[in-house]
Amino acid sequence: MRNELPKPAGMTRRHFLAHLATTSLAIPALGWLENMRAHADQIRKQGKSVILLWMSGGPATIDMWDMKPGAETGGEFKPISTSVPDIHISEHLPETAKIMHHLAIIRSMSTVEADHSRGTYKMHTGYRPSNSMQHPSFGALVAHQLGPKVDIDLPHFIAINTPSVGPGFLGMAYAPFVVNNPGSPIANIKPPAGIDSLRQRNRLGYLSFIERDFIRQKRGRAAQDHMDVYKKAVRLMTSDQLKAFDLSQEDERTKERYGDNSFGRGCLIARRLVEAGVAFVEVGLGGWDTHSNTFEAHRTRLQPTVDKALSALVTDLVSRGLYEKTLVVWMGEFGRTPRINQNVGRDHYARAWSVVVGGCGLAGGAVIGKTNADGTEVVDRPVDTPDLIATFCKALGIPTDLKFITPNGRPYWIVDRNAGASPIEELFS
Amino acid sequence: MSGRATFARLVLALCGPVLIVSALSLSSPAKDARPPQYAPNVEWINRLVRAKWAEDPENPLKPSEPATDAEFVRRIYLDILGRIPSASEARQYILSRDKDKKVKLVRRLLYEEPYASRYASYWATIWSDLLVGRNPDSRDVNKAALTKWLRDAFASNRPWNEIVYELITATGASSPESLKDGVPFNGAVNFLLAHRGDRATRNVPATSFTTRLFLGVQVQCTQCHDHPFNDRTQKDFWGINAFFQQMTVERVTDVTDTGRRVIRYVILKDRKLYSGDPLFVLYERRNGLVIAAVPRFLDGREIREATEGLNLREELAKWITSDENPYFAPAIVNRMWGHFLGKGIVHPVDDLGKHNPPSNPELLYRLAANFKEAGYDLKQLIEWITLSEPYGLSSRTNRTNEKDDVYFSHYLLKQMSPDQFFESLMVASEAYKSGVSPEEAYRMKQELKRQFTAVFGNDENTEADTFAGTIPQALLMMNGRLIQRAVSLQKGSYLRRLIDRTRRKYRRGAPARIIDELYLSALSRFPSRKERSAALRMVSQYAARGQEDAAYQDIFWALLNSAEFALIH
Repeated sequence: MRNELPKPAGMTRRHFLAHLATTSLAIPALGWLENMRAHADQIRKQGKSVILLWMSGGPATIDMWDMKPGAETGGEFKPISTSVPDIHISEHLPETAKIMHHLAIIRSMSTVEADHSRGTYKMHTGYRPSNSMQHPSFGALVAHQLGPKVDIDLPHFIAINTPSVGPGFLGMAYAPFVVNNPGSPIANIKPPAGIDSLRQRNRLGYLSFIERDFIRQKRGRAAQDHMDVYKKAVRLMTSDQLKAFDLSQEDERTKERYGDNSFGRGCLIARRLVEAGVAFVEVGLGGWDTHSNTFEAHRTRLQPTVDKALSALVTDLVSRGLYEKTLVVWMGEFGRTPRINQNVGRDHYARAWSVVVGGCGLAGGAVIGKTNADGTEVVDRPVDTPDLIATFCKALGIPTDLKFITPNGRPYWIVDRNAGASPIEELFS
Repeated sequence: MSGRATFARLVLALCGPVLIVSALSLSSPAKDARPPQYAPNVEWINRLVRAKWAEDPENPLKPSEPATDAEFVRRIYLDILGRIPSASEARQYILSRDKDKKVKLVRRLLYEEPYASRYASYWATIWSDLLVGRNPDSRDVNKAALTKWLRDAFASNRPWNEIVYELITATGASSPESLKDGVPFNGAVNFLLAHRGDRATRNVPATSFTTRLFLGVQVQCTQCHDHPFNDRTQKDFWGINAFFQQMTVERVTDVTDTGRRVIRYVILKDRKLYSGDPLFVLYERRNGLVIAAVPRFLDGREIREATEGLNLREELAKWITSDENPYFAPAIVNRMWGHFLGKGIVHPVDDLGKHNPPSNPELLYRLAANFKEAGYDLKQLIEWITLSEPYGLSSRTNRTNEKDDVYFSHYLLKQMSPDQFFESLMVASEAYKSGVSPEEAYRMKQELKRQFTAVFGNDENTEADTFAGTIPQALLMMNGRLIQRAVSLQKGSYLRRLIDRTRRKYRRGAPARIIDELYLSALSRFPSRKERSAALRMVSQYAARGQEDAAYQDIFWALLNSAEFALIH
């Protein structure tokens, strides 16, 4: 079992403070910038990455991945066959059907939480919300664990079109870097005109001098976090890796394949970020909370959007040799009721629903678990969120028994120890 | 004699001398005619908080030292007014030798102009963001009108029960535009107009916002199913929801020159009920059973039948704000405590219930009872909290309390909200004095909040703040237009005026004076000797290159970018 205190990635905390001590007072001494530039030229090592496609609002997976044709709950759509003989999915996912052999469907999710915020928290952290612990989002954990292995200027947890869930006790240095307009330049990324590098260094030198004193006063984590976040921001400002966010470098045909919409652009940027070495990218797509007119929303907007972006993303990752090292996850906070309500909608349902995963060595073309004839119950191999987190950890090479002691002295395990969770072994065969 | 009165006497008997002394010293300002009731309440808080510190005799929590004057003046301005003190306000407090200066400061901020107005607008902003969200997506909502209504309510210190009653029962038009048509205008209607939901999710957000904000109770999870962990059920949700069924909305529109239809204002009212009218809304159990819910309070009482002229929202508001409601006073007291102390006695502040016990139950219920007895007076509650021992502690921890984050044995660091941050930047750089109009400031602030608000894609109108301590915030602080303006050296700017003024007045020693002033403006304190000499060294190096003014600019930039500026400590 491992015992780890969270510490800043990359440099150790002591190293960083020592580094600052030499720069703080002497004005012509090195600031942060030159040191950072030196890193940017290094060739990064290829590490593992995660792309989470987050379906905010709770997708009706019964109309997509686990269809019930003929059942009263079956809905309006027809299943179609896929590149895997026995797997059928929605007729509105034709492109995804062609690459089904790269994906696995977990049809037996059973997760209890059917409230948006609680479900969002649980699916991101593997834990229920709790008064005594701020659990880190899985993206923050991946950034913490895998980020240090790949020394790049970009933050290792990037959330596009979604606020995701916060870093919990890992602190703000592991907060998601939120991008709201994928394709547009990052706001405020350039230093103001007229501030040359000497002055920029002096500014940062004086800043680190004040920061260091404030941290020494032991007022709490946020002081150290503030400095770590600035360190990351400065590094980002001066990086040529920012071009990962620039879609003008992609041709029109590629953009069209992903879909000319914010989610499509987000997925294309996700691919570029993973190519640049980012550990965790989350891309959000909202609008899944279909309490009314669910079929119209799925047919005209939701499924076509997912179909294009997901299939283009997986195809590109495969053809670029990245899929073996990139875990792709498609999920929302819960599924939706098999029963169709009086407004032709489906309501929140966490008892039986589906998640789609692929890449990073997971078996493609697999189906895990089973629901009953009308989709209301899991009848084989129920999977809860901690099992999913354990599966992700195993695929990424993160120990499933990883333990932390939080800043307020409480023990925390990356996979909830009380859940009796284990990785889905069938996906590793 | 009531139990409460006996209690109060007991307290007086125990700590009478102390109380009387402080009471006397307070009565001096003539304009403050209110009785000095804060002292016994403060004493209660201190006693109950200290009891928790000593609870584990093996490992008692030693509280942090009291905050310095500089720390206190900064946090109290931020927490009550939503901005840091100006350099002169900070200096005045730090240098004052009046031993009652703390009490006097709190009272000045709450009751004297121009502070009282600023208090009202700050709390109006907080509550309008809570009530309708930072970016309400419904075109029916006039957030500015709601904010104005709240400002007036906080300015006259309307009791909290009255404010809530009015928000739940409000009728009238959403915008003052209606007055042209002779239709009564009432900014308070915008709260419920923001949460009507669509036809399918009729009044679902109204139900969850009302219970969450005013009772601290989360029922939204029970919209679809019984709550697995707390004692709430689906019946509770739809029972409350049924109180909103009487609302009707009328949109008054206009067609623009370009042929677009725009909403001028929206009228919220209740349809008339007649004796015997049906009073149910329908909802589905998960098994598909459709159930009829009549208006039902969380204590189980129902209104089964309409009587002539019945107004359901009034019935709901009466129950929510009644003295007997077990959630109403604790919910607001806990929220206020969380605002000032960085964490609720119940955390999160809006999730009260058996499943989530308070860290100090006696404290929560005593505060709630006293608040009720004081007539739901928010300003008094603020006095009690801000003059209490835990609020006055330093955020610097010691070995015994560095891990404590529930018993308030040290002040917990807080991130500034975008509002506090924006207004503090305006104050530090004297933006309002150097020509930024209030309209321009309002526009800039809205833009900032828009940039840092992310919306979840669901039907509950929930938003997330992506501001606090993130990389985008750091980029904004280092490179953004706001900061460039704040550190500008152009004619009329804060730095320009400060430098020129100081140089005119003091031929020698101007640099040190300017540096002192920069520290007071940004950090509400004087620089340490070490800091002053480091800054002076920087100034002389810049001066050797003929760029002395740029040195002040860069030092001020660093101060504004520091954790000490960004964190409420």
